[in-house]
Amino acid sequence: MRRTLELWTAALLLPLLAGSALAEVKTMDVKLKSGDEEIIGFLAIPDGKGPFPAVVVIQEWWGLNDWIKDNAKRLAGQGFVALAPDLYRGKVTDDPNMAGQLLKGLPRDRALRDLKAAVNFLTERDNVKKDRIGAIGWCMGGGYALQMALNDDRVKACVICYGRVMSDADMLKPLNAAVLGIFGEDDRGIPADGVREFEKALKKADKKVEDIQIYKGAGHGFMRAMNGPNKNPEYREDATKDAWKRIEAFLNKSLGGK
Amino acid sequence: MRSVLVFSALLLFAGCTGKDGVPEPAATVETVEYPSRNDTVRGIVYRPAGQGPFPAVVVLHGDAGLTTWEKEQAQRLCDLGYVALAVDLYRGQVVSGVLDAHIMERGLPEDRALADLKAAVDYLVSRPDVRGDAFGIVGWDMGGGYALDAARHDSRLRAVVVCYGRLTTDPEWLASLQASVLGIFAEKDEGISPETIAQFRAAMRKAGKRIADLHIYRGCGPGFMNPASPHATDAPAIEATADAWNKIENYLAAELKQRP
Repeated sequence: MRRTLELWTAALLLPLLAGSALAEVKTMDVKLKSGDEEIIGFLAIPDGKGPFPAVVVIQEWWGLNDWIKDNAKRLAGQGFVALAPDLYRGKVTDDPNMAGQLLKGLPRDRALRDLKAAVNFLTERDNVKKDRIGAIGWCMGGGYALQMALNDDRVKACVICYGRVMSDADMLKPLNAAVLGIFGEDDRGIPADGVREFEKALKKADKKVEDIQIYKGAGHGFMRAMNGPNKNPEYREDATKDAWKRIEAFLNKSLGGK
Repeated sequence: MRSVLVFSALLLFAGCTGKDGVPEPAATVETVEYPSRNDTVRGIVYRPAGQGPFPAVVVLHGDAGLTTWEKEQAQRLCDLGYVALAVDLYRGQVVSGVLDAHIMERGLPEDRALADLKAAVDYLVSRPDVRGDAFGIVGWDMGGGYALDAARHDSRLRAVVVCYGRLTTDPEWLASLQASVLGIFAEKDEGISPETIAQFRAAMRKAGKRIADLHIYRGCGPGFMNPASPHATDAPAIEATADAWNKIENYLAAELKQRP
């Protein structure tokens, strides 16, 4: 096995949000080799020896914050090795002005290289099933989950949570992943008809579409309860519960979870 | 030409007189429509006075959409002798506030945006008053990133001005670029670090592409050229904006007007 410097930060008991049994999840910061650079990733591992299917967890515009780490831990609790690479290289914020700058300045080629580095890292681990790797992202990360899957045929399952989509079937041809889409009907930036066009283009390109959900009464960012220290007014509890149920079922089906 | 012209402002053929006594067309501003893939999109064309043909510049808005400010910048470029086409990637939506701008920006389908930008150049090519060999693109903020992306996908674009917009660091991604680049950056931009700018410079060199200038304005924040930005009132912003415009004018003149 490749020698990676793994900084064990915690080995904690994670109460499963879904309410089933407690599962032990280990978390640590790891170093990923992306081009000539070394970046940090947050890794969450299920209890047991594996090998497990794995998921790359992609941050929102805020950066690699606690919510993204919680989502990685949640997926580890469900039996997936979850790795969230830090696309912002250490920068994280709950200030929208700062987040906007970080998102808009992020070079796309570099982000996609980092995401490929995350898959490389996972495929080199003994406790990961190399042909069972998926991607999930929210907001900015939802768009990258799709771009990443288009850019890397090792990605077999792709969950886009209110991320940017596309409508050109020809451009979707390289996709090797099954797709689950989670959107909000009231999202001004990704209107429902754009989502439906995306679904049509996926089908035209003969891709596996598990489900494209558009939640009524939900807007952008509805799965996150908090905005930094404050409540997120966009949070929709029922839609979020349903979305997680679908995400877990989809990943289990596409990647063969526990 | 297929496109329908919707006249939104004056279209006067009176006033100036050419050498041979024939009246010269006056400057015009008009909303135009043109096809982009299966859709019809709208832009605003700012056309200088005179017969032309003129060099042309695509003007690309930031994440709030095509606001009055971008229209003013298009007018400014027109006053400098360019046909300026202000595109509207949001297709009619204009927002204010950082959260709504983000919601729009992160939702914009990139394939559609790039198709719209190619369509914008197609439209300019179809105009008899536009030179067929001299196209530039200028974008601010989100539009700066798309300006560079558009030029990577469209070899007709020969001059790119990126104002605090996303860069590319992989030389392979820049291989298709036929344009030179002028970059205007802000020191206090948290998203575009000096390291990223250095990586872009190195990637351009490696790809054999030409940089006119990459200038980082000290003490300025992103958006400093736009009075709507919180950084526009920073002490150095006014001087920096004047200097940035000076650079943009000289660059576009050298790349587009003085083309052999």
